[in-house]
Amino acid sequence: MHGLEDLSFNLNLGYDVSKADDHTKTPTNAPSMFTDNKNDGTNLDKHEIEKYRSTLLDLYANYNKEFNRKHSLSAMAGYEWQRFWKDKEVTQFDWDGNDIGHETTYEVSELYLISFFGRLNYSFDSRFMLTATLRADASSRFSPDTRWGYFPSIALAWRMINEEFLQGIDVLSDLKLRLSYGQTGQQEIGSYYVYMPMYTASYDNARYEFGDKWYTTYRPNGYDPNIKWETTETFNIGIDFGFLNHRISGSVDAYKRNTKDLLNKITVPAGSNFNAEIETNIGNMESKGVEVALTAIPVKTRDWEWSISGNFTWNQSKITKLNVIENEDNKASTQTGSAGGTGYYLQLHTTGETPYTFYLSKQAYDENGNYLDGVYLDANGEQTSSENEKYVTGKSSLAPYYFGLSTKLTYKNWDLAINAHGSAGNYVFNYLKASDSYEELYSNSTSNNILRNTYELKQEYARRYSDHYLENASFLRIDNIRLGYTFNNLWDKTSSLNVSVGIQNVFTFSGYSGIDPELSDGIDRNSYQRPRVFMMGLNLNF
Amino acid sequence: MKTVTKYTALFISALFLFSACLGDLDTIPLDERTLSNEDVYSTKEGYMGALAKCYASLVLTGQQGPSGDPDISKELVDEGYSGLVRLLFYVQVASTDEVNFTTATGHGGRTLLQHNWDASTQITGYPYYRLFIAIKYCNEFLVESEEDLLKSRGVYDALKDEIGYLRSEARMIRAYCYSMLCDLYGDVPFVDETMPNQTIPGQITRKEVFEYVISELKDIDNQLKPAGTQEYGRVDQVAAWFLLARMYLNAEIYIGENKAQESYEYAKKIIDSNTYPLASDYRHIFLADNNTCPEIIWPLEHDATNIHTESGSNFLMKAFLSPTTRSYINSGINNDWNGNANAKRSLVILFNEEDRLFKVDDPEGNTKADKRAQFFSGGREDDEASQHTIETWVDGADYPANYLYGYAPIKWRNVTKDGQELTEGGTVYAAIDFPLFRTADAYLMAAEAILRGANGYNKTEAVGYVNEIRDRAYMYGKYETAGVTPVNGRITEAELTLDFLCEERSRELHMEIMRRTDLIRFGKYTQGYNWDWKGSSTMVADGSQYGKDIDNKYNLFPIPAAEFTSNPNLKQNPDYQ
Repeated sequence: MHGLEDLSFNLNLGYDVSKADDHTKTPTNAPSMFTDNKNDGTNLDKHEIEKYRSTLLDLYANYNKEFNRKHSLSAMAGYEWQRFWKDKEVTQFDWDGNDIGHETTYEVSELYLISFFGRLNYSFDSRFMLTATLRADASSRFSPDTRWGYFPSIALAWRMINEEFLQGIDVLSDLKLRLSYGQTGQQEIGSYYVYMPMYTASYDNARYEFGDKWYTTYRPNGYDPNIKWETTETFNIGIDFGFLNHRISGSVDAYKRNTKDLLNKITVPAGSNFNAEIETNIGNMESKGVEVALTAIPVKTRDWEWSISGNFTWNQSKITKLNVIENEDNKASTQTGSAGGTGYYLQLHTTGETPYTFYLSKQAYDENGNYLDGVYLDANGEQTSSENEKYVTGKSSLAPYYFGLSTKLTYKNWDLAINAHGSAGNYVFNYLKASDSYEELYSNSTSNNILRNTYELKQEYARRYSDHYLENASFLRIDNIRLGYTFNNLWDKTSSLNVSVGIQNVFTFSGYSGIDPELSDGIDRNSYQRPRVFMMGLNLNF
Repeated sequence: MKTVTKYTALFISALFLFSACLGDLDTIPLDERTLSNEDVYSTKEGYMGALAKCYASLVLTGQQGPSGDPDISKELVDEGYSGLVRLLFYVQVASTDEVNFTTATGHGGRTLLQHNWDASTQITGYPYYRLFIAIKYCNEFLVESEEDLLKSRGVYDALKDEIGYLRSEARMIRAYCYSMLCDLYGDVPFVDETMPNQTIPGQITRKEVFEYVISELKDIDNQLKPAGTQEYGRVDQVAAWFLLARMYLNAEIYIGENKAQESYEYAKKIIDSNTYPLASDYRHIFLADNNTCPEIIWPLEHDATNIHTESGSNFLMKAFLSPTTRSYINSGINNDWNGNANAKRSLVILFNEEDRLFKVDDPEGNTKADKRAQFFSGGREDDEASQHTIETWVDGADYPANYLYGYAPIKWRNVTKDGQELTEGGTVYAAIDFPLFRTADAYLMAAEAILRGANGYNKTEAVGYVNEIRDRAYMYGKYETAGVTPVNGRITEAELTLDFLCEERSRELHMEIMRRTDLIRFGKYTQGYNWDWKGSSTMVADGSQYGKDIDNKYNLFPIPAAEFTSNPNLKQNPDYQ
């Protein structure tokens, strides 16, 4: 900036627009047109159009100054404004465009996020570094009383490698000790107007008549006026290191995190709110863990280079407090993990356990270990036919261990890259198998197919809570393999062409019997398969 | 200096920019269908619409017909099931001697046939959620219609004449919901308009629920519109008298005290006021134009254009019809669910043998003795595929799960009194208003109350009421009509017993969502009276088809298991723990 050389301004503007149109045309007399639409075979031309528009503006100022060659200071202050707008419109007509009694439905909403932020960096003699930041964030999701969140952080780093006492040790190429404390906020939950007491007006085919006048009805919807930011404070200590001129480098971090006012959707007792499930702040959670990252370059010659890197995390999370009523044992819990709708919940958040812990019935087996259909064990180990004797399994869909691996090999103009990731100790409930049954074979006037598992176990009814279907879903997935060749100096020194072939989603190693062990909520309701993609690429640089 | 001025100016304009944008945080919903409560309650229409929702929550499942925006989240209750009439039909009728769901077994439907439900059975728990959400809507209306709020919103003048009636109607709807909670679940949580949103309701006893309903009804008796002065679709005083008569009649079950005298007095008030005289023809009560039927005290409205729901009379028609059945009767609808349900033999045999059968050339049953016997037993003799058996079983075989095993009840018809369809070929949705409270029930309640000790056991008076109902059913005496065969169906005082009344109530009110309550009151629901497949554990016709006694715990439904996780201080009904 002219006049004040150490000061600079930066402005970013962004605009994002997308539209998706799900267009379905079902012909006259298609079977589904007798059980749906007008129930008389009339055809259907349906559009589900979703539009998204996002706008971003951020503006910040930077000030940098060096004093006496030993002290360096930089400060930054900024402002960010974001708007998210979305619209969903569903129209249904027949193939000739006639109105067939389905009203066009609309859902429009928008969200604004505004932040003020500042950062201060101070470094002394390239050995000590201090960073302090403060953010003030506001979301239109929350009420004026709770919408601002303030999130400070402070970090200290000691570049030990630059110290006098480490100057002679050649084998050590980097050593840095880090300490930090920070708070971050989360507001992503539910609709954009989650705090507001809102009413929904009825459609024209859901009205009521008084006398001879038709009235649109107004329905109050569930809400929590006090919903606020979820705040996580993290303490972190870490070491970055490098050996042998950075042939081996890595970092080790240990952290402890306290999250309070966790945002989640929970069931509330009937009569307490206008819906059975409300988005609200449900409680507190504590996590601790260790992260290790390592990179090694075993081979580095003029023609060859081979590097391997991996990261590994161990994480343990526990719910420490829930804002719901406690029972006699001072344990509070709330259900989650809805299995395909209509009242079946498979998981629990309860104090002292990992979030999303499975809460199921204990399956009973005979002396030979054979599955006894519809028989469970109650708390005393006695057999019972009630599937209500559930227990906290101690197994969750959250993985305690997760890791990533990648390796890259180059020889002259060739390059080969392989990436993989995985987790261990995470569990998945195979709801697809659990909910299938002989009862499914004939329903109403159609018949359905059943799974081999149902046939083999002679499962008469759906066994939705049986822990027989809780499986360890540890896995290692080879994400991609890519082989490429670069042609240099195509027409001048700066031009090159890289040709590559690759496979994405190469293979998954797992003991899980279903299709995909990597499910975010740990419930397999017939997940859609990940495609394996075979690719060819051309990359031209000039 | 110039640069400083330039940048200061820039800085100040940036501040303006920021403050303008800060206002964005107060954004409100954009679509016309979503409104803040201030918007809703800024006009009289809004208030009427909010009360209309209280009424509509007993008919519709959500804000979009027939489904799509459910009142109760679909994670908990399937929307198609969640309408009140359908849910009460399942628990109050399907679990009795009247009706049999052959193939509709989803959500635990089969447990209603076999009487083996528990706290995790969905279908026995769904009514709990529907009743409480309707109560919440009524509570909210009462909160928002306080006089101070009306004044501060500037709608007081527009509403001051109506508001007393509107508030009493919300209380009537709420009292009805608590009366059903008392009947179905016993000790339930309590929430009223004095408790702010998000208060966890505490549990009260069945007796306390009973006393609350009675006190509410007595309080609003003279606040509701006087008998016969109310506009269609809204309740008046007579509805309060009706519910009082019913609650008092069942007091022996709810609180262990005989209140037959009080029940008799309120039932008599309804009969004597003659505001809702009996319809001249029983069959008119269940037609598309029953909004003109004088007998219905509280109709739950349905309409072919404006009220679309898979619950309600739409359900009562379609679950029980198949294309074959519809080809023989004037149904007035153009689709059905292909025969999910039919009548149990135990209902059909309450009528005399001749009347049970369907005559192809007399589909309305004008030549029958008792015109209430409306069943489809089969079409033309050569149409084999249309023939039903009266038994819902085949000796020695598995439960048939087939519409043809059992007659189909056909009293609900979506046509006018003149037999006209609403649209040529029939409409998609039925327009039959569901008669929640009707005068015939008041006659039978009065007769029963007398037999239980009211008015000095005046049996002459009691038999008079019963014969009035039977004259109408048989179209005899003053109910004689051209084109319909009049038959004398009167009974003598000696024939009038409690057992007879129990049967007569089914003949008159079958499928009208009160049968289980009646059977419990007559001491016949769990023990001493059997019906098709009652209590069967095998579902094989090895004797199970005749039914057997079941455990007395089934006189109450369990509070849904999901409630205990979110409200651990609740106590479950005995023997369901």
